[in-house]
Amino acid sequence: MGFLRTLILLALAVISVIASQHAHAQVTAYAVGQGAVNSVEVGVEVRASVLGRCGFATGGAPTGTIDQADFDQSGFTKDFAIQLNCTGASRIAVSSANGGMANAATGSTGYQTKAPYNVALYVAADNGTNASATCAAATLAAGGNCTFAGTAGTATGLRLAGASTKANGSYLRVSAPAYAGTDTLAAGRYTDTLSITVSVSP
Amino acid sequence: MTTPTTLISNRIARAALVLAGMGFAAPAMADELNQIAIYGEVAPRCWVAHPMKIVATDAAVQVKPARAICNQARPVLLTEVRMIDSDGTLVKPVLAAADRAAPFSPRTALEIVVTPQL
Repeated sequence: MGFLRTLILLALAVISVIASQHAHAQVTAYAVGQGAVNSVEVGVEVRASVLGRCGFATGGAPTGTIDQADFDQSGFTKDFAIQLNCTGASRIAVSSANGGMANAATGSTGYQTKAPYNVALYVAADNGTNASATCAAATLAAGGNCTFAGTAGTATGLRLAGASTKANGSYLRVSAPAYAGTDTLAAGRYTDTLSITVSVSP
Repeated sequence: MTTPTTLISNRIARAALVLAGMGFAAPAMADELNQIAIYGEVAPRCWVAHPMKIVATDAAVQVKPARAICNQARPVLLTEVRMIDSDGTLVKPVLAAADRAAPFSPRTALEIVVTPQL
């Protein structure tokens, strides 16, 4: 029994010592009339940074379809509107699945099964500045050398230096004149898919 | 009895704010992906790249062969002998027996029609 009491007292002593050590770093304030210290002044160091937020605005992503009959004779052109929501500089990039409009048919001598077309980007910032470029779809395939080929990143894509958070008339245009290649464009269905990405840019 | 109203450790406050700040400093948004599908159709068709040209003189006959191009591999050739009218236009074929009785122009042409076989 006596041993138990001694053990409890020892434990209380240890707790008291620990508590007293913490008390050195703490100040206690009391309600008015309840104690001498009624307020504590605390220096609060606030550090925060916000990187650029960048994406397509709701409903502003360039999506959709174009389906043109006899495009080898008539050519085609279509604009897809873009609305960015970027609080700072941004980059937008485009990649082509086929590097042109491709026909699933097997080609043969004198026939062409991939039709060329162009992709133009025009992006405008809230401050009135803009950036634009045009590339052949062939240069948007993997490894292509178009200035905005690939997936958008900090160093990849067409760079828009200013913030763009409004409908500024930005667009992606796909177009082709009537086919004028040497080899005959084989009859059939032609397809391609463009993937458009946007990213913040330092 | 006293009631503590504030018990704040400066160290804890600073640590909490630094941690909160780290959250703001993290990359704000990942890339977004959007796609545009492009389709086009090239109808089967044939066309004449070079028409046949025949130049006949008393001395010789020169024939420059015609060249027709089809954008698919199965063209069909149809030929017809047609009379040429006085103004140079082609008129009805002369193959039918009934037409033989009609006034016959001494000028005729061989019309070759190339079409895709669908």
